[in-house]
Parts: sequence; structure tokens; C-alpha cells
Amino acid sequence: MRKDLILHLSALSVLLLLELLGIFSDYHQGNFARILVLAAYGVGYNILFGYTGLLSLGHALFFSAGLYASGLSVYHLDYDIGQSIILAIGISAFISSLIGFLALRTIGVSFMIVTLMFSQIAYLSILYFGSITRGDEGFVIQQSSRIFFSLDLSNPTIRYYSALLIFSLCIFINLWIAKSSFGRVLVAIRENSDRALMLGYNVQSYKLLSIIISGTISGFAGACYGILFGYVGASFATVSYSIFPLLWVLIGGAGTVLGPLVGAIFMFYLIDYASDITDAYMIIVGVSLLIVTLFARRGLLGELRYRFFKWIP
Amino acid sequence: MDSLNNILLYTENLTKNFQGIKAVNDINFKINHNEIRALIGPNGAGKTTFVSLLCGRIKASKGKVFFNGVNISHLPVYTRISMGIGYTFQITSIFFNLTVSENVALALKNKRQEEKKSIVSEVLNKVGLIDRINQRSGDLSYGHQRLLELAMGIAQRPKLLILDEPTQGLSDLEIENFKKLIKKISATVTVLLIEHNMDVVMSIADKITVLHFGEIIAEGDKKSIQRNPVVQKAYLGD
Repeated sequence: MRKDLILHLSALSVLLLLELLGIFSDYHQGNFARILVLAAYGVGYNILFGYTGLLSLGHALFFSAGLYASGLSVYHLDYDIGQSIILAIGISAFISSLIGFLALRTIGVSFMIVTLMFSQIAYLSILYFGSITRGDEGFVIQQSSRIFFSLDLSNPTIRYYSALLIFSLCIFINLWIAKSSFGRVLVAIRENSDRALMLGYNVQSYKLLSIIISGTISGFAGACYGILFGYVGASFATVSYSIFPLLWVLIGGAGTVLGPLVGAIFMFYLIDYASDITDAYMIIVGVSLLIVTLFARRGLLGELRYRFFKWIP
Repeated sequence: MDSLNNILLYTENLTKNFQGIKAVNDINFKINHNEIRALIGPNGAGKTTFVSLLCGRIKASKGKVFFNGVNISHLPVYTRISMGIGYTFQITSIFFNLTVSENVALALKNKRQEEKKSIVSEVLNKVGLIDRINQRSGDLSYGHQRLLELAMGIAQRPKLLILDEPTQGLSDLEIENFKKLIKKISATVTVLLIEHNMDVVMSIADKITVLHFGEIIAEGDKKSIQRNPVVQKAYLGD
């Protein structure tokens, strides 16, 4: 079996065994379920930023598009979980195509600003249409609506396994992309888009496709988050939720399949433990991030790949 | 004589204005199949702008480009490249974080894995980089990076290969090898070479076109260009 496949299956097996063997406390089980879904969001972000080299500051738009599409369809239209997730995937794909088409008319810093602006429009729209979205306060998806094939997704154990399944699906999509010719062209575009163009690749189409895949995975993660944790709120559409995946990817290693998971675990527990020590926990978080950046500027997994294991995808 | 069948690429009144300055002015240019053509001229003559217009990196202000009898003026870069125009940059432009073989493999679109592997080996053998096949291209010497760029151009199997100052930074030995290589590939590929090294130009070019202030001031074989007073004036001044 290929080394890269063994690595990812092993990582997933560890996450499975931690639950099966009852090693997790309830607290960490809940944390990890959340981390896995958020890491799936990070995987989506990584495809655009880590592989294609496009830095978006508006990915909260895609995450919240999925979150609200599934949440609202369950809340207002009584959709079942399967229907709401399919709808969320469709809407995320549509929105990311549209945003991609418009935002790709710009490059570099302008691209960052344009994506940020679109994301802000989405955030303000959520607040403006409060009668439907319940604005800032958000809404809860009732436990009775969170049943999927007679599985109660509000049950912490089922929720953990579901989160693991969602994350596994996303990283295998990512792994497949990373190993495909398509993925290699994305990396080529990241490295030198002029050269990729002069090799005959339609760079704009590849970038657009990358945004659509990235946005759709992010939307899927958003939809799953709402359903698994039963809450849909405007805070998920704020700029912070565009910055988080960027941090997870940077810390874990941009352009590595498991990087977003490593980054999300690191960030989540760093904030968790630092906030136990002091109210000014952001100082500890900031210093820690500075240290990671200084000593592992390719991210934790990225640095390991660069120094020792070149085969890590 | 340039019979129409023999012409690979030609331009009609090709012009590029940059805010009123004519970088390329009304150029009518022809290049035949399997020819090695050198495009020379003093700095700022418009050579790179001209070849960028040919492959579509820059949009022309006026004029047309025909390739293999087809008007390609309106076509985007990637389509022109897919039709058989290869281009290597004046400043080394490779994928520094990828290995040598990955760089060359990227030049091979729509090929199966095995086919890619064999072409990569064949091309790297040709340019003398086969022993560096798994090396990160960013770790290669400058000369080797230039050769890798050339290898990527050759791997595309273009009908027309545009080389923008390919010998810049190469050692004497590498230049000698480069000349042999270009001679060899010209049996199947037409080469348009922008070059400042006159030794290279004089030893491999079949024909020379001289550009000055965006216009063709002379065109012909080596001897006629060497003797041409207009060319001498352009290079040496009054």
C-alpha cells in the first residue's frame, strides 16, 4: 500500500480508536467532534490557499452558506437531514462559482479584499433578514430534527463518529486531488502561474474550479456543523471564521492534507489551555503562534515534510 | 523563397502601443518550418514584446498573427500554446519547489503516466539533466535551471519554440552544448531565438531579423546582416 495512504488511514484509525477504547473524556470527545468538522472546513480552505495559492479572506461566506442553507431548510421547511445537506452542497457550489467568477477578475491583495467584502455582504445580509435568519441571536435546530436514518446526531458518541466520517470524506477528496494531475496543476499555479499559463493551462479555469471545490467542501462542513451541534448563528459568518481556517492551515502546513487537522487541534487546545491560565490568554496564543511561525515557517506538518518526509502529500 | 505552405507563422501589421509609445510598430514577419531564426536588436528594441504578442501574453493594439495558416490573434495564450507554440522566459521561470522531473512532467498535458515518464527521461537526457531528475529544481545551479526551462519547452513538442535569451548565465561549455541541442531539435521544431550572444546567433541561426525601436530594420542571412550599415548604426550609434 502507498505510504501516503497508510499515513492517512493510520491518523483516522487513531481518531477512531481514541473513541472506541473510551480514552476520550466527554469533554475531549465533544472538543474533537467540533475540531474534526472545523478541520473539514480547513481542508476546504487548504485546497484554495495551500494548493492553489489563493488567499481568501471570505471563506466564512461559504461555511455560513452551507450552515444556513441546511439550518434554514430544516428550521423553516422541515427538510430531513439528507435533503438539507444536499441543498447546502448545491447552494455552496453555486455561491462559490459566482463569487469565484467575480473575485478572479482580481489578483493578490485585491482578491483578498474582494473575498472579504463578499463575506461581509453575506454577514450583513444575515443580520438584515433577521425575520428569516433570526439575526445575531441565531436559532437552534431541535433534537427531533437531527435524526438521520434513525441515528440521533445529538448523541455525543454518534456525533463524534459522524464528525470523523465527515472529516475522512474530506481528506480523501483532498488526497485524491493532491495526487491527481489536476492537483499538480494547482500546485504549479501556486508556484508560478505565469509559467503554468505558458505550458498551456487555462489558469483562470483551474483557479475557478479550485474555488468551487474549496467553497463546496467548506459549505458541506458548515452544513454538518449546524446539524451536528444544533446551532446556526451569524457569528459563523464573521471575519473571524475566515481567519480561523487560514490560521489552521498556516500552523498545520499549507498544502498538506492533514495540516488543517493538526492546526485546528493546536489552535483549539492552545486557546483552551491558555484561557484556563489567564484572561489575557490571547497574549499566550499570540506568542505561541509567533514561535511556531519562526521555527516552523512551513507549518508543523509542512516543516516535517520539508525536512524529513518528502512523500507526505 | 517563402512559399505559403512553408510558412509556419506570419504577422500582419502587428503593433503594440504602451501609452502612446509604439513598442512594436507595424511588423510583418514570417518564419518558415524548421528554421532557426534569431531575433536581435539593442536593449529596448521590442524583441520580448514582439514574441509576447506572438504567443498571446500581451494583447496586440493592432494587426494579426497567423500560425499554421490559422488566424490566432483573438485566441488566448493557453490555446496558442496547445496549438504548438512553446515559450521559455527571459528570466528563469520554473517551479522551484518541484523536482526536475515534476517540472518537465507538467509540460506534458494529456499524457498517460508511463508515457510521461519516458518523455521526461528522454528530454532530460537530451539536455543533460538526467542525473538530476529527482533533485528539487530550486537547488539546481542557474545554468541547470536554464536548461530545465529549455527541457520544459522541448517536452511540449511545440511546432514553434520561442527562446528568450536562453544562454544568459550559461558557461562556455553549456553554451556549446546548447548550440548543438538547438541544431538537433531544429530538424523537427522551428526555433525563434532572441539572443544577445552574437557567437550563438552567428553559429546556429539560418536567418536573422533585426529589430530597432519596435521596427524591423533588417532581415537576411548572417553575412548580409553583418554588412548592413543600418544594423551597424543601430548597434554602434552614429
